[in-house]
Amino acid sequence: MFQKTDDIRFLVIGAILVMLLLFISFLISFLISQKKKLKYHKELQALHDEQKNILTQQNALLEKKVEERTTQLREQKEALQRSLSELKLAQAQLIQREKMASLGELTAGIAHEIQNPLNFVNNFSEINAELFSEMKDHLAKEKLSESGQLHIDNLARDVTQNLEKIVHHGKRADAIVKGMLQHSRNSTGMKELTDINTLCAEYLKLSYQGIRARDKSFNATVETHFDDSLEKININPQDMSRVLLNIFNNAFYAVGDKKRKAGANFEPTVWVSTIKQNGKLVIAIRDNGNGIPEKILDKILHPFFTTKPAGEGSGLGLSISYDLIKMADGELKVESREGEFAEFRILLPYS
Amino acid sequence: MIRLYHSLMDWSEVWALLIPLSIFLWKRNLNFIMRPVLWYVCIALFLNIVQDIIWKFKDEFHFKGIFYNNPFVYNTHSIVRFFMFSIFFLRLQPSRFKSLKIILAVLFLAFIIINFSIYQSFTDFSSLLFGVETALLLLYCLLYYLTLLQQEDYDSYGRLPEFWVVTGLSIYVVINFPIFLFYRTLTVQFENFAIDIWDVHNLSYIIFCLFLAKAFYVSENG
Repeated sequence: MFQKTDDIRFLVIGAILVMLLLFISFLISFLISQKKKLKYHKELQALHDEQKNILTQQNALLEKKVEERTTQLREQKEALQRSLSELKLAQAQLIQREKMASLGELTAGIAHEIQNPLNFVNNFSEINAELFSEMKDHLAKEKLSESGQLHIDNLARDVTQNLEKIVHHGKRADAIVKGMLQHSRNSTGMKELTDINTLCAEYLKLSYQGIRARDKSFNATVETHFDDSLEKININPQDMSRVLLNIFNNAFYAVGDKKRKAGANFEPTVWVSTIKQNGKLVIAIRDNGNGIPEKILDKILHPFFTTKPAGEGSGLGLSISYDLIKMADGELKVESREGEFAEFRILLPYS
Repeated sequence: MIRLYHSLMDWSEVWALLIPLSIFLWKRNLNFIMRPVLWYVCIALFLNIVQDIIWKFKDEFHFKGIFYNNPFVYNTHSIVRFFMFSIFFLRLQPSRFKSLKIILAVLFLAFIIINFSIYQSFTDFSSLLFGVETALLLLYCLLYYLTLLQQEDYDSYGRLPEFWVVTGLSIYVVINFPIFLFYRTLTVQFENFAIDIWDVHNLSYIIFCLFLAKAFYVSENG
């Protein structure tokens, strides 16, 4: 046993040692537990990393699959959209064709019914004119009073003028009716191998000369670019010549009209070209006339639609052309900018 | 040799503090949490110089009155140490047991006021003050370790300056708690033993300072 005086010193030393021992034990335990915790964390982290890697791989795979599927769906969507557009176009064309066919039948019916009475009117007007001429000759041989002769001369002049008007307008009506009948009529001839360049050149010249015959002051520059490598194609040359003549006439009319309005500064020009393009033969007729306003662009192929003044056009030319091109399994495309140009492109099968 | 050893031990509370201070001056890296520790090192250096000068040269320089003895400097050191480390512990992240730490600091302040107003003189070495201070600091340290144990994420403690500070402080308070508690009695009854045992205190203080130096070394700006 320690003496009482020694107790406090040993107590202090003992307390120091005990506390130090306890603290060191605590510190060691703490560090060991932390080390275990670290090991556990590392294992957990490794597991987490492994899972993350697997997830990343799966994610990449999934993304790839999604991307592939998206591409497929996009392609399908595009194909469907293309089909839909084509279908809509075909539907529009079908409706237009049906409309035209119905209108053609109606026109043919009306024209046919009008043709006969119109023939009577025209024929009997001509006969009347001849009879009236004979009557005038007989009356000239008879002795009449001066006032009676003057009165009969005045009446005869008026009747003659009236008959001339009846004959003139009757012929005009006859021309319209014939046009209507032509519109409803199917092909006028047989298909044969035709040199389209020659046909174009021939009817271009014919159209130009025709215009020049009616209007001596008319002048226009004509530029042609014909593809010499083109081979003959199997078409109905009569039908195609009607189409070409009609479009050339329109082109010359457009540039002539603009020339009258614009004056000397304007150089009327018509370009005609032929080319092979994507398995089609393309005839392009372009003029630098007033162009076609966008709002009437979809109406120009309708029968009886015309922008020309009354008496100058029946409104059947482009409609007939459109039908004839369709009959030849071709297409007619129109592009225009108002005040600048109009371009008609005839696309014909070419193999 | 023995004289040299005694001199070294006598002035250990001064030169030991120069170690962490030198490391700080060399690295100049200190984060927000570590700043109270630096303030403590600076204030402690001043107080320890004062206390050792009084102890060694009180007769030579004819110190008088309160400055004839140095216990008031020790008491001041104890109070400063507690509050500096209280700030340090309150700044620790994650901030847990914050209310408890504030309550302990307030209670310690109340204890100082009551103790030195009624029971003890501030010029006498107060074993009670040191005992309470070290006990509370030890409690702070244990709360820190508890926080670390509860923490889910793990970081290498070697890189945490606060870990080195707390471990150094823990070693210091663990060793010195019995010394402080009985030092007054020992100085009266066993003066030589008290002088000898103070060397243990000094040794623990050197260890504490080495830990602080390590903490300053690993600390980064922030």
